[in-house]
Amino acid sequence: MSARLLPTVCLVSIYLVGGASIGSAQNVTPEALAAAQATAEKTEKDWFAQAQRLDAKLAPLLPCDATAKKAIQDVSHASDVRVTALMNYLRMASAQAAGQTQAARRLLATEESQAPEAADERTDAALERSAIEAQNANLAASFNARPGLADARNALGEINDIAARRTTFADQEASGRDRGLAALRDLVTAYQNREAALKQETDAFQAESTRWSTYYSVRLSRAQAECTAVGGGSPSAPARTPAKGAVKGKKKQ
Amino acid sequence: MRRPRSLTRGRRFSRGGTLRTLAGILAVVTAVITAMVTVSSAQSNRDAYRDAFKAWRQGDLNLERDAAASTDLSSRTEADAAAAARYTTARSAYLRAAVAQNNASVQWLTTARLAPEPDLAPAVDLQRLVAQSTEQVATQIATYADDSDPALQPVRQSLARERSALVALSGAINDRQTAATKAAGAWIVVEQTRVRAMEPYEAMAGALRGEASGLDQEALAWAEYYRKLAEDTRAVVTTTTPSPTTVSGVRINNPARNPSGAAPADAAGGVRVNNPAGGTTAPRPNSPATAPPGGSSGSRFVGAWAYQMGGLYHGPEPDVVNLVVKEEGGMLTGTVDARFWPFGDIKTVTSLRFEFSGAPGTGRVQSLPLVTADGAKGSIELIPGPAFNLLEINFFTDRRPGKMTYGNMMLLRR
Repeated sequence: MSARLLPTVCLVSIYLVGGASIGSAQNVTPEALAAAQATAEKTEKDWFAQAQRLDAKLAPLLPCDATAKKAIQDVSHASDVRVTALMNYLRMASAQAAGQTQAARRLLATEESQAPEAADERTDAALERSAIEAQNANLAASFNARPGLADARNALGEINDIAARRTTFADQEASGRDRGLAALRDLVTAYQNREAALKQETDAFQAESTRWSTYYSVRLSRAQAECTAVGGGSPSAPARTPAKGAVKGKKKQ
Repeated sequence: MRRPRSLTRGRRFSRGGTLRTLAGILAVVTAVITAMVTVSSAQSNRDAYRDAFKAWRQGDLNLERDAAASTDLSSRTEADAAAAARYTTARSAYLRAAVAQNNASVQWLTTARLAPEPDLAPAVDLQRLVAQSTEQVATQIATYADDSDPALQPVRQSLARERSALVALSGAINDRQTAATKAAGAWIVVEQTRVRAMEPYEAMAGALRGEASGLDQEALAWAEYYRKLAEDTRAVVTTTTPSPTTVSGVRINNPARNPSGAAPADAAGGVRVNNPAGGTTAPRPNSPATAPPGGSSGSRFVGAWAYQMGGLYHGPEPDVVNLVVKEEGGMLTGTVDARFWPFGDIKTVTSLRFEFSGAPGTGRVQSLPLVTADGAKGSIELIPGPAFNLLEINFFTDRRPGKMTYGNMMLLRR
């Protein structure tokens, strides 16, 4: 496989892998996202290293040196690869965010459907308490006539205490449910905002990638113009030794 | 012949268990049972426990009132204790289902934690790169600025386009960085909100667990209450020497007062038969000293019992145990159909069937002889559990190759 084809193969691979990951569902696994992030980081690093060296690499070359055109094209390809990888990551992150928004909405819907339960719980606890109190009242009356019922009366008193504590727990549950619902609504909103922010970031990166592409295209045009200026046809054409001094300085600065 | 230790006296539980120990056992058993109920029963909803509550509360409205005058409320307290247990079991199942659902919400909120937004294309680095290229282009433009050579015109134009492209690129990087910063901020808000949302759900989990735990205590307390109510009303009998009553040829000291419209009580219904006709003239006390309060008349054991998967056992692990106990002619008879998982030298699942019969003693624990389906002899102990609906059995048989010769487990009334 030629070195020229390699970036293209990388691009296709990233598309395929990324496409499969996203296409599977909005439910992007953390592992898939981490893998996409790792790929994006690596391709970014590779491109950045090449881009940093580009000007220094071109400086000593003559205008029509074919190496110059290839160097620009290589960096441009590396840029395309990293843009693809980054876009893939952002799309997956967006898909994950959308999935989480949906999951949070479902959780909220479930919890909202359970909201009346808290009131029911309180009602039932109150019913239980009133039934125990009725028993207590009857037993107290019997106790007056028959003191031997003391043990039973004490036992019922303990039950009343336990039921009272349970009522407190029921109140705490109801309070927690109210606060939980409010927090879940906030969470759904936060997820929606993040989803929207990620989409904006994706759009912004798409715009930036277009600018990078334009820049490398223009950079290649300049190399062509410089070669033409010294009488060469194309930087990739067989090298013709330019006349000394045909272009000021001959070498790029 | 090896005798397994009793569940309540063996190594699983302390010797001479106190009420607290029993309460602990009941809590464990209740937890196991209710957990199973939660998983396996469709009854774990509010309707189920409300129905049970209604049945309990509408069952015997005058029990406490009648305690003032009644001399034996055993059958009524047992009926109410059973109804209370049905209610607390259903209620507990509901609460545990609610705990499980709440836990699922907490679990989701916990696992929904997002990794921080990575800065995959740091704008600072890219801007530096762009700045370097822009500077280099500016130098080139300056170099050709004063040169009027028309051949250089395309180069100057290319450089100008490149500079414009770099300016546009710089702006795009800034825009993207702004969007990335916003997304990172949105991530922070999500995480803060998520953590904030966990607090009330964790508080709810604590409250629900507290309710469920309280209900477990209450279940035990209700059993204890009804036992004491029966005991307190019976206690009076020992000092008042009641006049014997004869029902169907059987002399009964203190027939339970029938709730209006209820069928006449019989022995299996919890009426204590003290002196069969033709017995001694003087009536024996209802609660002999050898039997603890709420002790074991034969009726305590009568009924169908089964081992619940995941229940308590000692020694060979049961797969299935079904026990049916009857009381006929003053004799306790019963059959056990059991299946055990491989244990010790026995490498396969084994079945065991035996029958037992004997006169119930006055003690709390009934020890009766048994005969297995293949003729082996042994004995079985019926030990009242810590709640009315629990029964421990402890049996052993002569050794038979490939057959389980002992077993010890807690059964639940069916």
